[in-house]
Amino acid sequence: MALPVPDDAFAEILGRLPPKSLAVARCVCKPWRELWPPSPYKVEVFSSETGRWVERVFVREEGGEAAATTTVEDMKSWEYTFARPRQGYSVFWKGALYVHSGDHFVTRFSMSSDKYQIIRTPIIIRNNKFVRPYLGKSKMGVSFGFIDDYQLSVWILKESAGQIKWVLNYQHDLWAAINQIDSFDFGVHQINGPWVLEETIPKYRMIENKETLSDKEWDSDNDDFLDTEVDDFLIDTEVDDEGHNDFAYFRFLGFHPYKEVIFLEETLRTFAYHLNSSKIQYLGYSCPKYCYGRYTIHESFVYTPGMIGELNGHYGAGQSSPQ
Amino acid sequence: MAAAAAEATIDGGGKMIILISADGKRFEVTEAVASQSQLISNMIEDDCTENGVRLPNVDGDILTMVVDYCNMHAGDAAADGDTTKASSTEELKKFDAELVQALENPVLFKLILAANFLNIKSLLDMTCQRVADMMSGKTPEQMRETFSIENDFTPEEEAAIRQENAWAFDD
Repeated sequence: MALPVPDDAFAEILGRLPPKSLAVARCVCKPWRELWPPSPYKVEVFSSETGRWVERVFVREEGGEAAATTTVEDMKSWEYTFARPRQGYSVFWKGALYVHSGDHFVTRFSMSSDKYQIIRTPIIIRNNKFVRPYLGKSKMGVSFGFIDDYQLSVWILKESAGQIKWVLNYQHDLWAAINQIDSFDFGVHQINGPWVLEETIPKYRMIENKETLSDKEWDSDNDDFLDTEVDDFLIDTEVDDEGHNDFAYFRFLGFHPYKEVIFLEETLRTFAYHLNSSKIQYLGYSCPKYCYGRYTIHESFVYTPGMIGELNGHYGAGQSSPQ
Repeated sequence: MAAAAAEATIDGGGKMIILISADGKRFEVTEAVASQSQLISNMIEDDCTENGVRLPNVDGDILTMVVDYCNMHAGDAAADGDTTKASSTEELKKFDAELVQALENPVLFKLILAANFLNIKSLLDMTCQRVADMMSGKTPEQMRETFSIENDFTPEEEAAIRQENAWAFDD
């Protein structure tokens, strides 16, 4: 202990530092290096039972990734950069909350044992600065999606006999899919998917796609795919105003909650990609009217209606949609 | 219990409690003032404050500050919906700011120890924030200097940890 205060008080101090200063503090002396992430770690948790935020204390689980290999960025959200999500994606699965703050660690908070654990992401993202990973929940459980240079990878977190590890579940080349969509005439700024674009807070340029109950609901079992005939490929590299080669570039929007489908976005056009058949479906253009020029979707999560009965059918009970 | 404590303050009455510091100094405070400490609040609930509360970890000069702080903040618990307290909010802020700004490091740390031991959340928050403010934006060398900390890394270890946290050093 380098300061004459107890460890929990010192953790309290460290927790108040901005991420950069926290990282610098770890370089001051050995005791400071060991004190973050702290154990116990205090986290504000929203209790759906009481409808309130409560402070919960989690103890670091022994046997996980050693503290020595842990750097600070896993525990504190990064400042916004182009490549990373502005907020940590998180998943609740089988009694544990998995939080990814935007770098190469996922923190797993067990709600039943009040313990937390640090899990390395399956890849080191820092080496690929302009690609954004996506932590989400698929039918397989906690899933980690990543697209780099048109290579799609999906990992599933497997937990057995106290061991937690990522298992590479899918690896697909999206190049063919890119070619398909490049040859497709989308029309200009047309919202032609089964979604309704709700432009609720124009001030913040917020995109909110919510699927509503309608006859035209997207059906992921339907074979209504884009034409996949290879002969029809027309590689159309469009050139934008600044003369940049605006080549297609997929981003991850989310996992389908119970089908082997992922949602992708490419210059605000939204697609469903079927992992088993490698087929791609166009779902709609998701740019709000007030969005001049081109913006990207900064965050997304899969909207899963949970209280169908109680909402009296205001929301569809069908598919989820990226939001 | 908070309501009962608040009542005692407003009435100017309430039961008195004796706090005894490590060096034997005695402080007489109302239950409302003392129960800002979760530790003492629990003792009051358990009815074991009859013969005074001995605080073997807290020196008299530090306890003086803690009691001053608690006296100033005794109204906080009652402040919910009580508009007469609103006028003193500014005053309280000023008092708090002056209290922590003026402290030399050793005293600040003793105050953190006391706030931690007595479990006075607002005082702990304030003092920890002060230390965090002193650390923010500094280099490792400046942090060592500020808190008189010895660098116990070997040059190789230091290079390694700086490498690990390299992102924090590039501006």
